[in-house]
Amino acid sequence: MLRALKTFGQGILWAVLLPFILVGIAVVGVFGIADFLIEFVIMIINFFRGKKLFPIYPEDQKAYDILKRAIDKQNGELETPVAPQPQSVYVQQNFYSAPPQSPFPMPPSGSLPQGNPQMQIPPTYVQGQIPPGYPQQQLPPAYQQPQPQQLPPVVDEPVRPELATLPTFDASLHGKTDSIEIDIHSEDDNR
Amino acid sequence: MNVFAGIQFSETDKKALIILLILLVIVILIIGLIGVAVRATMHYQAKRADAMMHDVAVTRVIDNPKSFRRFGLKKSNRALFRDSLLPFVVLAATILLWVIWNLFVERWGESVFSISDELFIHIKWDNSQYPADDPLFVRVFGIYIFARWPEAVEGYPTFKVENLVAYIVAFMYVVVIVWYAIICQAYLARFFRIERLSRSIYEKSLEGFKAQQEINIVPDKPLPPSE
Repeated sequence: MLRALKTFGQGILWAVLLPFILVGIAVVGVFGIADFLIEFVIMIINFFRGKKLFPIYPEDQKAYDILKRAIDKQNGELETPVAPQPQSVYVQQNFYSAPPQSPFPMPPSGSLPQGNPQMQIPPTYVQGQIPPGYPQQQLPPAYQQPQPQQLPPVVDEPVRPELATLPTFDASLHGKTDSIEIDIHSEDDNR
Repeated sequence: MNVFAGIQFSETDKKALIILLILLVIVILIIGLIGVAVRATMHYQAKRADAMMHDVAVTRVIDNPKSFRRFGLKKSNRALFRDSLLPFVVLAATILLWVIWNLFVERWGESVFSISDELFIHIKWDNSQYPADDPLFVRVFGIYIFARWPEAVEGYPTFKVENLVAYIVAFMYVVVIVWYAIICQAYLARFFRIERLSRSIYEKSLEGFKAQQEINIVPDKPLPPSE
């Protein structure tokens, strides 16, 4: 009974709305004729341009590409080589977290991540100072440019005279590419 | 002052009034059922708008209500064209058939609906064809309502083979009109669905939000700030 009453109420509502719906359908019908003509002209133009009659909208194409990439990535089909990302290692953090026994220590498990051990040289090393906690090492003395008067005099004489008459090598291909003939003779042979 | 104090109903009037009320209730119930059916079909047709707009909304290609409405209407217009293509082709074929038929029978001035009217029963709706003391319609409070069942029949259904093409053409016209009306109704359903989705999808609601609670932001492309 309640359902019938509900349907009765909806009937009254629809009876009131029916003229508006019919007007809406009529308006859409007229609009649809205009839309049909416009779309038909577009379709004909696309046909004579050699395109698809109903080409995909750019927004749909973009969405399709995004979805395709996501699906390929999920399936592991899109494995392009990725350049290694530079590790942002904080040298200062490594220095303070490193034990003082060795300049390249291995951290105990469970400690803070250390990153690349080769990066654990403290930044103060280049300044010629050893930070506290590191073993004292002899650092090479800084190279100094010698003064001109400190250079040894240049002697203009051959150090090894026998090297002046070294044999020379005359190599020619003679049109062959698979073997090379080498003629070995010295300056004495030419004389 | 009681307006209805002077109105006296006979037993026949009371029966007629009860029958009239029952008929009214039945008619409204039928309209209600038709409305429920129309609403259900509109819900079904509106689902197509969801299928049209799903990908661009999920991938954030369209990220604001205005673009959503514009793109939705663009796609809906194309869908309207594609849907109405077949009925228009049928309509063109029907018109061609009517032209070819008229080239042979030379009945250009006659309406195919008038010709097809002979397939149905004809009832006398003219009040002057009934006796004055027993009219078909009576005027009650300025409104004409039925006073009796129409009993006179002008003609019975007849079928003529020479009018067969006119029957077919009239039937195809009706089919195309109903078909096109359903397509227009589907367009209306999509239009309202797109309007509602454009408001609900990009809605930012503060319902139930407390400033003290932790912010849980999904690491994804955020929606643009609202206007």
